Amino acid sequence: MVLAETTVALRVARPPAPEPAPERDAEAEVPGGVDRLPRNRFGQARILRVLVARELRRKLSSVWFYLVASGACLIAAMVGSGFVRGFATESVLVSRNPLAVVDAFVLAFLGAVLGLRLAAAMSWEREHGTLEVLLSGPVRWTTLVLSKFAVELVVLAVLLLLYSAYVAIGRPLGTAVVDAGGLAGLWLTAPLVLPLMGLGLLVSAGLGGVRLAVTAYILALGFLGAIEAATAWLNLQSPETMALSALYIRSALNAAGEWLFWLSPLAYLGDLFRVAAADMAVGPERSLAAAGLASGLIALSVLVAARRGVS
Amino acid sequence: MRGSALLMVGLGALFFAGASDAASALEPETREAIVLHDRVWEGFSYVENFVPSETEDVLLLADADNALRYVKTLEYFWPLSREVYVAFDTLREELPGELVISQNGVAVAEIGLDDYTIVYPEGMLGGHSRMVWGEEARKAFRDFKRAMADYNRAFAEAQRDRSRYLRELREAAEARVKNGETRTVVPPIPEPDPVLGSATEPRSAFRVSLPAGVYEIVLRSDGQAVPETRKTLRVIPVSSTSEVTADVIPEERWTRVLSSNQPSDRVFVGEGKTFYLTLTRSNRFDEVAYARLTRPQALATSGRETWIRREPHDADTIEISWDGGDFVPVARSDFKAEQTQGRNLGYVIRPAAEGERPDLSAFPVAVPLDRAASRAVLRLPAADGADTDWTREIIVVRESPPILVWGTALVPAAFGVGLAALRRVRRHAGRTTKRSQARS
Repeated sequence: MVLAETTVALRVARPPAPEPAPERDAEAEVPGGVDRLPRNRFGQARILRVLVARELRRKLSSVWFYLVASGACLIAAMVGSGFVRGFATESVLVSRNPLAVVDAFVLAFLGAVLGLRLAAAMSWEREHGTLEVLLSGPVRWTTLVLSKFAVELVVLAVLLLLYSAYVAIGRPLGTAVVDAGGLAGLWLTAPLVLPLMGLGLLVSAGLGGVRLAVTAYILALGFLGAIEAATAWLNLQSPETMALSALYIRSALNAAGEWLFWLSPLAYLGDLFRVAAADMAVGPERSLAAAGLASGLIALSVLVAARRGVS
Repeated sequence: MRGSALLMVGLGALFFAGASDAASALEPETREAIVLHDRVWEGFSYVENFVPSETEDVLLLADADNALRYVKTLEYFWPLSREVYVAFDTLREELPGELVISQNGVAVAEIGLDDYTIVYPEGMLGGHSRMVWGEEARKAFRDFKRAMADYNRAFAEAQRDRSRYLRELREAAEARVKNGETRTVVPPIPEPDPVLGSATEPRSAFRVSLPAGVYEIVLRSDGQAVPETRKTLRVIPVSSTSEVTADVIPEERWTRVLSSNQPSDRVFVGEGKTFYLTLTRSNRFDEVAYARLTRPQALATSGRETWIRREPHDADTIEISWDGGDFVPVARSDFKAEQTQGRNLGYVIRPAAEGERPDLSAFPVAVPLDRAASRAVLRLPAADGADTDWTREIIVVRESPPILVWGTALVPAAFGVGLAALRRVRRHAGRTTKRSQARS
């Protein structure tokens, strides 16, 4: 429905003046089609912009967006009040950035919610037959998939802005605790949730129904999460007290973990909590790797979506 | 990773060998193997370790003397600690030859065996040590033996003289009681000062001191590479030789110290509270690297740094500035933790009285009960008055008004609901207008 509306919007939004010659790709145009927008690179960029702007307007004007924003702020308020309550019994705490723990919870929440929405994005269009309508126009698979991700990316950025404003104004960790450096940490760690969103998009690209896609996404997260939790738990045990079978499983999981460390979206999410618990900073290589994995998942989503088709 | 691989091999062997009989389960199976028996520099002192035959990587610190020796011995896996052990007392055959070190396939050094000893100028517990080689090593050990012999001789002489003194004292007392005779007794000669310095017995090993990098080492004997002696040598730089780390001691839990190792650490403290700070000289290492350096089979968490505390910092004063004001000195003082009277648990930390043995020697930092004070910076001035790199930020934690914390969090939801309600009202109004238009 959303993209059907978008298609209509594209028709309306078509500029009255003829397209400049270099941007046109006559062969790529839909012959006698309902829309004469070009399918070349520059044209697709404009279509992407229109798709994103259109869907973004809808998202930002819906209630769920503000409920999610408040949800993130309430998480910060709860975790932050725990931090402040700690000073009733303890007089001192040494930490690099106490906000990192709050950020980890908030980013995990936003990543999961936006990943879930992305898991429903393409599958909803497919379920309601709107993909066919849209793709009979000038829109390519790449543009379509990219637009889905870009919209949620902007939504994430706006939600993080609202959360940052809340932390600065509401001061859930007490007065004077959070400064610009602490807030900057949020934006440096934010790329770690992108693979989770990419996973949602990939699931959505390959499945035909919203319920199926959401279930598959949750199952995938559950599976990866179980591996992460089991590895962490086994690594915490002392080798002297472990059964041989447990040691064998630990070694196998650690061997698999070397790959999953780079390839599992949950590993990046786990990094948020790991670095917060160890009071460390996320290295730029991890943020870059997360962005790289998200890009890979988007590219894979385009291939999967094109292969799967509109039905 | 290598440790895990070794563990897997050990576990696999146990799985497939099975418990063939009760005796084999009680006594681990040993096998002849060539291990590396090393004395390695860990940034502050020398530690002794061995690298099991199946561990391929050997870790050393760059630009420091280390002693490496290939030894044929009996090796066995001990299931209780899941580690490989060696029985040097049963078999210890030091292999002769030259150590060939190569990098990217190009030989960079061929080292012969030489004698070494480790000299501890302040004694083995004093910490500082150095490795000396060749004639200097033999001389250092001879000097130490001579010093010990001199000490033993002087001590024995002092003991004899003390016995003489006691005997003469008794005889003088008896003579005085017997006939009132007064004798002069020469006091005993004092006992000699103990020999603080120490040196280990010279041993023969390969002297390895290399710049940081990855190398390959192998033992060559009679022109041939000895099988099972090829290893990868990873030489890592010391991250930092002398970092100043801090320990924060809360007033309510003086035995539970909070470490503050990194300059980016901040100390969050409640208003009106006091904490105590001690400074230590430390070395910073990658946790895995340090674990493998000192114990090649140790497991550690990758990507994490570790600070090895070496000795207390000798600074007597640090400086503090509240909210950008002038820096004022904070002197190190001695404190006593005193249990409160009565049956209830509790204690107070008070300044130690003159001559009292202190429990704590630290810099006290008191947070004023002043709403205006929110941040402070601690810094360590150098001995010559200049600034050093060491600083710590202190932040006073005060609770924000709950209405601000919870009320602000609900603002977006309230806005969203309001927006939706407004849209609904407009839609409803539009429908009503259309209906009334249709009717008219």
